[in-house]
Amino acid sequence: MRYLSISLYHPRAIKGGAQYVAKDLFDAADQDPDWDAFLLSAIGHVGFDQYRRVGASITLFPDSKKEFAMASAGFDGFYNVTYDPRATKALVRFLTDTHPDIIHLHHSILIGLDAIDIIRSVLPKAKIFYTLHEYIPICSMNGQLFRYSEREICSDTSPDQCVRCVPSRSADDFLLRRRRFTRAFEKVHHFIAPSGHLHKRYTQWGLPAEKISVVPNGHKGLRPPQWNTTRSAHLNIFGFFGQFLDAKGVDVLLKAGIRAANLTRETIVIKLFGGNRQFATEGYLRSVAKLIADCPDNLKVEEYGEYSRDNVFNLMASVDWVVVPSVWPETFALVVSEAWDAKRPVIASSAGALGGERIVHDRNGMVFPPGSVEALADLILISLGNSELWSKLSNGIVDEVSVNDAWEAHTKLFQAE
Amino acid sequence: MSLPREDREMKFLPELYALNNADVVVAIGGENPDQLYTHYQSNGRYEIRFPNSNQYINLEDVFYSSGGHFLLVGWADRRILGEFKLTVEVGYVCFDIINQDFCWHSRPDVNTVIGGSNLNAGFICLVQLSNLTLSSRVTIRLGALILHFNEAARWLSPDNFLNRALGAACAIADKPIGIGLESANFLFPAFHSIWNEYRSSLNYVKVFDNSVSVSIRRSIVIVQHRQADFLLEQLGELSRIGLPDDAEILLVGNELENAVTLCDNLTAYCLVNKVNIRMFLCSGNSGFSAANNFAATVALGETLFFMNPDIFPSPTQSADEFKEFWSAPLENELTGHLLYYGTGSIMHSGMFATYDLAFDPTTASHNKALRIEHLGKDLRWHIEDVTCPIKASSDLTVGKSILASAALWKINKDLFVRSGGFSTDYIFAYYEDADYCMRFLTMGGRIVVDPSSRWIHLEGAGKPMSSTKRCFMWLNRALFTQRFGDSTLLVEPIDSMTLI
Repeated sequence: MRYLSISLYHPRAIKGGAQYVAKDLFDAADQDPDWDAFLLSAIGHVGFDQYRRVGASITLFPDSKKEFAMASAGFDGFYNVTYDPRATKALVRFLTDTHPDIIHLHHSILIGLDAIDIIRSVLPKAKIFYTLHEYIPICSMNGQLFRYSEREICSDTSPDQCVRCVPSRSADDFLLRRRRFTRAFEKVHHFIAPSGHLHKRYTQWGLPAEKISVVPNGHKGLRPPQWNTTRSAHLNIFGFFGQFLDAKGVDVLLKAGIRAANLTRETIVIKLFGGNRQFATEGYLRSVAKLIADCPDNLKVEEYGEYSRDNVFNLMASVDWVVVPSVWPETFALVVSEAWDAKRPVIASSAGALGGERIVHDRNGMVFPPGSVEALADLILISLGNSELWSKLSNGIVDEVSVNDAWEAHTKLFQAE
Repeated sequence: MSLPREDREMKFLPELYALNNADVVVAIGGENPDQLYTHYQSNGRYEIRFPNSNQYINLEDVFYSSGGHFLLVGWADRRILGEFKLTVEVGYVCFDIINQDFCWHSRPDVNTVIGGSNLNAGFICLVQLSNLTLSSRVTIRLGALILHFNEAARWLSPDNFLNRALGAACAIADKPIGIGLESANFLFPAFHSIWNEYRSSLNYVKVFDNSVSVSIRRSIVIVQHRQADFLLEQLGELSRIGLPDDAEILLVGNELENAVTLCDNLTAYCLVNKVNIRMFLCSGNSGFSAANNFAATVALGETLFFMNPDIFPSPTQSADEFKEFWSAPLENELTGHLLYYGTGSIMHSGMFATYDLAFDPTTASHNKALRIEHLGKDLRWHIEDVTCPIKASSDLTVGKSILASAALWKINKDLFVRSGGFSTDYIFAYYEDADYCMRFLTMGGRIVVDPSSRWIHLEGAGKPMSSTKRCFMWLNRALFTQRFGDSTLLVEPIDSMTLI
């Protein structure tokens, strides 16, 4: 059987959860003797010059014979279509040559929904699978389902409500956008949702429930064998791992840290690991900088910048508690799997797939309402130096499924179609 | 006890006239009272020879085109100025704008300032001077009073001038039709002249051709204006419901932006969709009528499907349900279709023409102003309803024939051409489809609404309408009224109140 994984970006070009999953599944397939695997990563038409060749839309990644970059121009970020003649021609030929039986899409951005039409046209017998990593089909605002103006999770995705976030568009535009996704998705044989929350939101949106299977993203564990779980003496180090975007809630963590520090004489340490500040709003970055500047003496905020998957285990082990204060409905939160790998209890907002689904309060972590500074401050105070709680929660952690397990779950779905 | 006013004697003041008008004294060679009075009677009173005359007239906007068109917008206190003329000097030639050139309209804001008048104070003048030699200097004067002076005149292209003039005239278009109809009738010939002149200067060129079938029997005509935002989505939806192999899509772009990118997109689209597509670009904006008429002349199919760029098939109907739409045979009828809003509620299932009484007490005018109404609007019919609204609406036209919106038409090409196509007299768009329907019916044609397929019409709801568009809709309404005001096809207003 031949397997083609199509991703937005490649971890070698830019790091991100969805491309890690696509690459991991490709690697697992590539090592599976029953499968012949390929990876095609869309990189758009700007940046990543190291992968571009003049006049070519599909090029091989260095040091690989089966991983390709696809550069296409003119991607329409609203309708998620490309209609680039050169890239279309190249993709038609690529599909004809590789002739995959299973085509697994991980995104619509830069790939384009027209790619699904092309696949169906060139390979009518191929089965198309689509992993729903985010909410792009439902929400044109970066697929976050988060209303920035109201700072709350979006629960009503009717076109007239979308206009509130994007006033330059009409409700009819959003109707058409939904139709575009729906039309493309009618050609998809089966969807994969990494979390039950995604399954629920997409079912509400209109995908048939039976066409979506929940398969958690596999995790490449880095924990050494026989590793002894370690922690700080004071259990007072709280870590944030993730992108520095508005919706990731760093401001909520800092405000909660300040509130907690004002209510105790203990020292609280917050370590911030994360990059991609360029995607955050200026106002947000300013407010975060001001919060850091205004910290009381017993709150120490340490910024470490970007990290990679290769060193995340050691970084996770350098904190006692991992805080995931997202105010947007997280779809899966890879950071939770990484925290679990280091046996770190996660204190998470209940947004999306976090609270209730992945983090069960008082069993493997603790949960607070999204955006609630007071509730998070309370949990920080409860956690400080609380070795009994830490041990209970750490022992309650069950490792995330491995990449190989996830690949096996995928192959079962492929064979069922 | 004072005398009645009419019995009082009015005397001419020759000394004051001489004092304020030294040029007249020089011209007549002295201060002879009789000569001064004669000058006043024959010239002076029309030349506005009084102090502070600029307090009684104001030019608020002036622009001109390289085609010799001039548009003047302003106001005047006609009680003081009487029947005046303006002189336009262009370089070393001049011409007059006389009373008959002024379209007067009410300006309550001006009336408040000048003390109230039963004479309309606002004016718009739209005139053309043929064979004008353009110059850098333009002066407009009222007698000795200079109202406009420009030593570095910018001459607009005719299309820019037309659009700007339409925007300027919108001040009247936005008034109630009773007040504005006469103005529309007054201004339409001048606008129509520019429109015709501009339109006749345009041409079409083929820019894309993906012909994969030898035999074409159906032509789907889609006219795009400026942006083709929806085109690829529309094509995708048409592919979804299954375009017949013998169908071609004929695109005509008016002032199309990003045409090169669009051609690229179509190339990509056609690589995986075996669809016959040709696209023609117009060198400007030829309007809805001319572009569709042009498409009809180059269409290869014997059946034409006129389709607006914002028409989409029902998302809940299958390809099978659209078979009849494509293949039902046509005889001598024009076929319209069921149109729904994006939300799924009915937009309309046909149209009829009725009229308002347009009256203006200040001018004692009293006329019909025709209006197109849509059957089904405001009703709760939904695109997914099993019951079709068409029968009910047909029954409700009180014996009058139904009209069909050209948002989606199906008609035999020969019949369309033989019946004269769309009237290109309508500026840019609107009312041309109702005009065609009225002519078609008068010639004995039959109009039906096909209930077999349902369509969504995303007519730009929620987007503000530009002043230019509001104005040409108003002018086109006036033309439609002139043409069909006496038609027996009109539904009486009282009957229209029960039609929905």
